Amino acid sequence: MAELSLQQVERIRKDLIRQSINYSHLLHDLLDHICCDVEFEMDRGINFEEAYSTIRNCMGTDRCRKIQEETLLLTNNTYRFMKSIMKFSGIISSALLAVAALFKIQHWAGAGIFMSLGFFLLSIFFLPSAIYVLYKENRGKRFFLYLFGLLSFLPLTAGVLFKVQHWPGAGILITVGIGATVVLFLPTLLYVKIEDSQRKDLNPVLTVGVLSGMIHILGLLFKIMHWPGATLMIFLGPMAFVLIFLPWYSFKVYKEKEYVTFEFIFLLVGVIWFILTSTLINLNIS
Amino acid sequence: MKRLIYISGLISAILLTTGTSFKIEHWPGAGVLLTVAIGFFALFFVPAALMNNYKQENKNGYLYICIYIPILLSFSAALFKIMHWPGAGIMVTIALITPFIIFLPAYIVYFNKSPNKDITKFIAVMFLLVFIGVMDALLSVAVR
Repeated sequence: MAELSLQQVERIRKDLIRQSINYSHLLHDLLDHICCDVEFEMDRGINFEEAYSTIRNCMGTDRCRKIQEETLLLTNNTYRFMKSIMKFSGIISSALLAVAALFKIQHWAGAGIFMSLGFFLLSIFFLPSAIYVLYKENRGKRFFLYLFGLLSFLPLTAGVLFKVQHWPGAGILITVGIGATVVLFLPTLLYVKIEDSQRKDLNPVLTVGVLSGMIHILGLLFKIMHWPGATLMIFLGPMAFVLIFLPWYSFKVYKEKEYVTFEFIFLLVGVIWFILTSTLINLNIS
Repeated sequence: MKRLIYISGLISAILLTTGTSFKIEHWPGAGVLLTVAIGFFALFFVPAALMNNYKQENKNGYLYICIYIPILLSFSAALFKIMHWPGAGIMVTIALITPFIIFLPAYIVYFNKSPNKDITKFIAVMFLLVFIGVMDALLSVAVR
């Protein structure tokens, strides 16, 4: 069994520090791991330099830094706490809303309480924690996307609750929420998608998708507020979405896949459910 | 087969959107379009797509069943409600809670067992469920 000299170990340590590995426990673990690998390679009869460069090639240039980022994320208490908050509040609030809807339809007592509680959990706990977790997962980049997301969804959920409970101010909240979605969130989302995308040929497709989504959502706002032009927008938005965006996007993205992906099923179920329910709501308020 | 499934999904989405537009405008033919679109979607596209996805690994069969049942129930309830067919009330009642008592537990079991717990996918599913919950709440207030 080959054994490294102290100088050799020290050299690997310095290399690791140069890669800005500064979390002490991780530095020791990585050092130990790499030394073992190098010794294992040296057992095959090659010298230290060759063995070490083989290992370095295997790891790539910033593998260690990535490991450090992942470790810091996993040992971050706030992150872990937010993750559990997100799971529990998400499950409980969505289930509460469905139960409230059931109670309301059946005219059982207590629907209002369930609904308020559901929306309260949703806007105070689920949305902020989910957006925080997503933000951290993205390594703390694109701060404004997540900020705008929060700024659009919070007034929206609060507005729906106010509307359902007939409290004053619902109209303003919904207008602010949808306005922020259309003016701030969706353009930022499109910008980030285009900036980060590996495939430049997808840019026009995504632009069409986001634009048609904007038209549809604006149309729903116009309808709720009884402003003119709503019907045309509600017609054009989904039409552009299913006739142009969906076929184009599926053709480009899913062509190379060998089987039908979960993403495609998820996308279609989501889209169809959204169009169907917004129509049902539309029919009833018109 | 794969291409057929994609095309069938896209066609049912297009038919459905056309049908809803017709319905809002009160033009004739909306009912037929919606029935064909939802029927095609829930009885052909979703099962075929799920089967196709299942066949590549032949694992977690329960998850696929627990995805299909709520989808089938929800979409047929919506269809019955729009077409004012008898039995819509009971179907809506059942369909409202099935995503939460059938799909959600199955998904949590699946997520906890999966080797790489991709939290962003979990959040995507949670957002879908929350969205279903909010839409249910809105519908229950609007529909009488």
